[in-house]
Amino acid sequence: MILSIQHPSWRRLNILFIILFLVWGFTFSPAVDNDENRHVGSNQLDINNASYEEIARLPIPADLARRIYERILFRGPFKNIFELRQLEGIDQDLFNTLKDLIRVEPFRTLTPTQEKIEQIYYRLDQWSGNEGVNDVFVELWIEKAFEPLNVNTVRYDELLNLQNVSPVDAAAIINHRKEVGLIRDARDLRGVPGLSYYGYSNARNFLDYADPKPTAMPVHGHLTIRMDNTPFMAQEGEAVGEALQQANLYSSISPDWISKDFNALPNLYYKGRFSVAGRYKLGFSYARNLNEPTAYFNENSNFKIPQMKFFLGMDNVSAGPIDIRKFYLGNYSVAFGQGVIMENTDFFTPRKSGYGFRKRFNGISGDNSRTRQFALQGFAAELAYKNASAVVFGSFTERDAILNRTISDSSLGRSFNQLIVLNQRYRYALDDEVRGPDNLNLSWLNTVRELTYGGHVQYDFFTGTHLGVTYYESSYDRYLDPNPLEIVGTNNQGVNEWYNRQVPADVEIKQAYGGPVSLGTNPFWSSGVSFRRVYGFDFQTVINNIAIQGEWGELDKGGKFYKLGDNPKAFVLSLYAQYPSLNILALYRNYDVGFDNPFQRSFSNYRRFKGTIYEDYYYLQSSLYGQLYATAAQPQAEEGFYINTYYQLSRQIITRLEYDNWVRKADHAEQYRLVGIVNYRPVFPVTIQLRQKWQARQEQNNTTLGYFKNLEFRGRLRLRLSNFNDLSLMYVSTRLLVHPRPRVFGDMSVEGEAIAGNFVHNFNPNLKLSAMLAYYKGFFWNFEDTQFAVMESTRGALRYWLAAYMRLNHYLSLRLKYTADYHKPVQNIRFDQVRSWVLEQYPSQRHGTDWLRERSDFYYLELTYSF
Amino acid sequence: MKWIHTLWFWVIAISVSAQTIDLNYSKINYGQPTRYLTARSLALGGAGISGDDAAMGMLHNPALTVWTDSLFHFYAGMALNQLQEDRSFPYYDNFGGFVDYGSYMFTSNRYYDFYGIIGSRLPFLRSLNLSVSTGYIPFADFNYDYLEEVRSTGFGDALLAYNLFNSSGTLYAIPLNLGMTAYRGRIFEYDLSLSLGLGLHAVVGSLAQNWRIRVKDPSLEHLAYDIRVKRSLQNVPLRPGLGMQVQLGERLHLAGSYRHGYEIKFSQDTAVTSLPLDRDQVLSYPSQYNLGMSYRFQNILAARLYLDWSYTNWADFKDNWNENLSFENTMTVRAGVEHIFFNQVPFRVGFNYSTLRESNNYSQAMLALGTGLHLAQIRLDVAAGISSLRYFQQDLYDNAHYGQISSTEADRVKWNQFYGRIDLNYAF
Repeated sequence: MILSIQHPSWRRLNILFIILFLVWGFTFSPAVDNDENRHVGSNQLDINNASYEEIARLPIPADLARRIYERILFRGPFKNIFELRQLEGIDQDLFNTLKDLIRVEPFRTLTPTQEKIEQIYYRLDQWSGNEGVNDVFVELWIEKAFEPLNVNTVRYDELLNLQNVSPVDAAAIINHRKEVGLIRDARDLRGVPGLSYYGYSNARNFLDYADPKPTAMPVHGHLTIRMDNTPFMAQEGEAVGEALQQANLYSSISPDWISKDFNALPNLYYKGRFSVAGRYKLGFSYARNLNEPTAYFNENSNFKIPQMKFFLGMDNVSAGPIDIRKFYLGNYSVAFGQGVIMENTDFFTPRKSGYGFRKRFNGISGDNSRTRQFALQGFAAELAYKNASAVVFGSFTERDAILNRTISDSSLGRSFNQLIVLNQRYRYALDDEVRGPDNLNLSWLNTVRELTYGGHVQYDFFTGTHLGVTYYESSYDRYLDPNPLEIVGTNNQGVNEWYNRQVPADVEIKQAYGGPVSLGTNPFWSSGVSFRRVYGFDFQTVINNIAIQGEWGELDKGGKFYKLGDNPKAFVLSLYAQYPSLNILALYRNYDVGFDNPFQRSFSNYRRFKGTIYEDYYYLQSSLYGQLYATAAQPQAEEGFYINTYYQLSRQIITRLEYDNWVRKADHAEQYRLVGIVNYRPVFPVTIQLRQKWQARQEQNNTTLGYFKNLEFRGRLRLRLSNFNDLSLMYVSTRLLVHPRPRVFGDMSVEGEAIAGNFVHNFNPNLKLSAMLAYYKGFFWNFEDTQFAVMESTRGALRYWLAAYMRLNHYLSLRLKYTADYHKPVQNIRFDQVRSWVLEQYPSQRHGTDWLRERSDFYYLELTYSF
Repeated sequence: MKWIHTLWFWVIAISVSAQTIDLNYSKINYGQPTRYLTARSLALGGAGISGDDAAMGMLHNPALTVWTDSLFHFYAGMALNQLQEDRSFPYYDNFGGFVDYGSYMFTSNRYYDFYGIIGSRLPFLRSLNLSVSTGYIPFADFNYDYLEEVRSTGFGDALLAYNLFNSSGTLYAIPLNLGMTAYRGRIFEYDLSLSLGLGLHAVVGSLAQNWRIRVKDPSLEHLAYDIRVKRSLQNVPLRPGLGMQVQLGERLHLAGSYRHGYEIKFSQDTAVTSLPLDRDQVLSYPSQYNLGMSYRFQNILAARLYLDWSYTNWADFKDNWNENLSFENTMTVRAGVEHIFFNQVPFRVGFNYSTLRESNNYSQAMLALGTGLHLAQIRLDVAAGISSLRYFQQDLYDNAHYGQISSTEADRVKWNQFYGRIDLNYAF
């Protein structure tokens, strides 16, 4: 199935996994024919539950009996007796005869899980589509969908972690429950004062109104196997291509270490999460990205075990007066407050406000996500006593980092420069010959060991109102020295270019945490030589329909612990007001440039190092060091005010407005982003959506090179047809204004346009086909079935995809997708070949081509099993 | 003549480097074994060794012969294999920075094949389902066409020459499969039946290659050559195989099969006497193991899932003309789903993933879609599949010979393959 063969032992493990998957799948398939389901009544034959022998006793030919039996066996029971008539070989006379001899018992009892799946299967499909980088979240939603929380005993913090449930919604449910004592059903829930319809319609998927009926050790789980060859990010793919070129990969003489590291194999992701008796959890995951070598736990052994993640956990156990809400061993995720201090994911989400689709899962959860660099591994526990709760966690793991060439101190050894999220974990930066094995042999994989521990203590004054304190400390076994001279490349004279090429935004690089201030030992770990310590507090309060949240964090650089603001700091404050047809979110954030916290994931528009020299990989020692920016999970330092409103004017019209005004701290670049959306639905099946974005940097000072302005219009007409079929047409027009060299060229305007049509056809609840056809020129983003795609074509491109989603039974589903992307070819691309020094300096290289053709084909395969 | 020796060296020297592979040379010299025989098989990604159709077992599992359910069962069909090839080289800006890949050759070729299968359920010992089948099926595809224009990089882009080579021909197999149901019984509450099969493929056919440089610029006339090589089989390669299928209850089928290795001896007949053709080329093809399952779900559209896993010991492959050749063992996973619409119209999708014998660092995936029409005794099936592959290969013709700059870096080669099948089967 989705396997790579790199080593026999890994192959064996893969096969074992597949066999286990299938054995599991078929062992736990429903026993449809069990005797309890039989309805033995009068002397008429209950055809839906009859055996073949019983059907064969009817006055019909044997092959017809076989066909009737197989019709029921493979297509499901007859819904009514007249469906028999549709079978080949049954004419009206025979039907009249049979009618008196048989009866149709239409209802078949489904197991509670099957029933649940039938209710929510389309949501499982949707969630899989929305997964994106929120894979942990989606997993937990699926788990909760199968094991709903009892709304009459659920805690506030559990409600808050549900999809699209705001603090106001969660507090409304808890407060109402306190008042009335019991929420009996969905109707009661809908009537909770202050609960938005949005919150209700999402929460009801995860809530039940009583404790589940006791059954012997119910087991639920969700397994996914996914394989595709879609590049994670086009720009990064380009950087890898360049690195490979520079490393002379394709020449006949290539160093062994590259040949060992390079492959052309697809993205792979296996994951599973199981829950036993609603309380004991276990899970695993394995992810390997496109073209990356397989990493093993035991590289030198004969039976190699690939680097997987796994966890074991336990939820909601009482130990006397103390509740052990959670206890996890292995890989786990943690997030607190607004993500200012701690949220360990490898993925950056812009404008992560903590609301709606930009939620974060607060507290602890078992981690089977694709996060690899910032994974935590060890233990985590959440304990509660009355209104107080505490999370403690400890992790010991290895991280990828760029090591410095120069040995700064003989006793401390070689220092590391920056932790880095590697999308493709090659052992070495392919084109960095200085660090490569031929020279210093400085691999960047698992080069720094890190001990991280910390916790969060919180006191809940009343529902929705708490104050919490967070602290964590990381200790590293290498000295931390983020010297940019180690990363920014030298010119052909061997002179480092860092000093010539700096731009104002590079302040973010210069103020990276490290150097003497980070030096320090660790009481728990004798190998620890440097450290990073971040602490702060957070609060939340819900007053009627208003929620106020905030978090303050400080990076310890020698300031006093109790004094606010004498260390680099970061601060987020948000206010959210919810009315029946209106909600408003206002958010202020202010991050110091020096607040260099690798676990920070709070609200921001851009990644750290945006606009710095690390973004411009041309100048870097290895183009792959561009991942310091391209895959950075940490937000950039910015200060700004954001407002987001949702207003339903009438049944037909919904408006949304998003406005953000901020300053990038590093270079004081002022920016704004304004997005307005109008959704007009004149009649139920027709929706017209208009969206306009205005975004600019340095608009007030538009003579600088920092100026840009971006306008984007998206119009969409969506027709909902019968049977949940859907046809939508989209038109996009974009415009980007920049000053390449204002004195010479003046403004440059880059225009883009796209037109797309999308069709979804549901043959029945078990088979869905969808397709899209688009033409685009310029920059274009789109949701494509389950994938979010960003494309760019300077000359125009045609793109289409076809996808089939099949539910093979209640539990097992398969998704297959093919995408093709054809760019208009270009003829005759020439550079100056006449100048003899070009040929002399690069004798084997070509400087022109007749044709440039770009065609990409992508496939996507996903198999999921939920039970 | 030095030219020709160099050329011949290229033809037989398959690169052992992990980064560059010579898929085109590998195909014309050793062939590409048939992966998808019938339309149904293609639509299911090649899966189906545990299927319910004698034709599905033709390639991999002779035990499926027992599914021949009449005295005379006939299949006939046509296959289309299209190969679109785009070869490009890296080009640079004036600072030596890599810009992109520019193509210098783009070809699109279609190759057609026909196949026929006849099966019979023998009219005696009916309880054993004794069945036999034979036919004429494509066994390995050697078709490939290379055509490159050599142009001057100077003003006017004058056409200097055409570099071309091609290989044509398909080896066909005449199979003889025997199948029987050896055991019927019950295990737990499930009916169990075990079918066994024995098969033998006799391989026939002949192949031809043409190596040529057609010069357009008179000053390069000394480079021209035109070599035609006829490759004839010197033996009748026999490939034995055996297989089994277990039906467990009404929903689950399990299957396994083994296909033994075989040897092909080619004589090469050409007018060029200086080539090292004094002895026959002997190719030892490896054995293959297959495991598969299929499961019929209860579903409004009668869903059936097929999953196959196959392992081929390509590391055992030998070519006496190229002792240094080293292939790697390959693994293939085939998965397909079949839905039956309204009894008569199936809808099928399939996926095939396999690592390449030339290097396990490369893999190939294929997606397929198919449908058909099932009338009482006639079944018409159609399917289409698409696959894309990118690999790197050294420049095949050094431009320095034409007075141009030679490239030390490998070319990027994109293969887009399209497969089409249409077939008809009739049970008398």
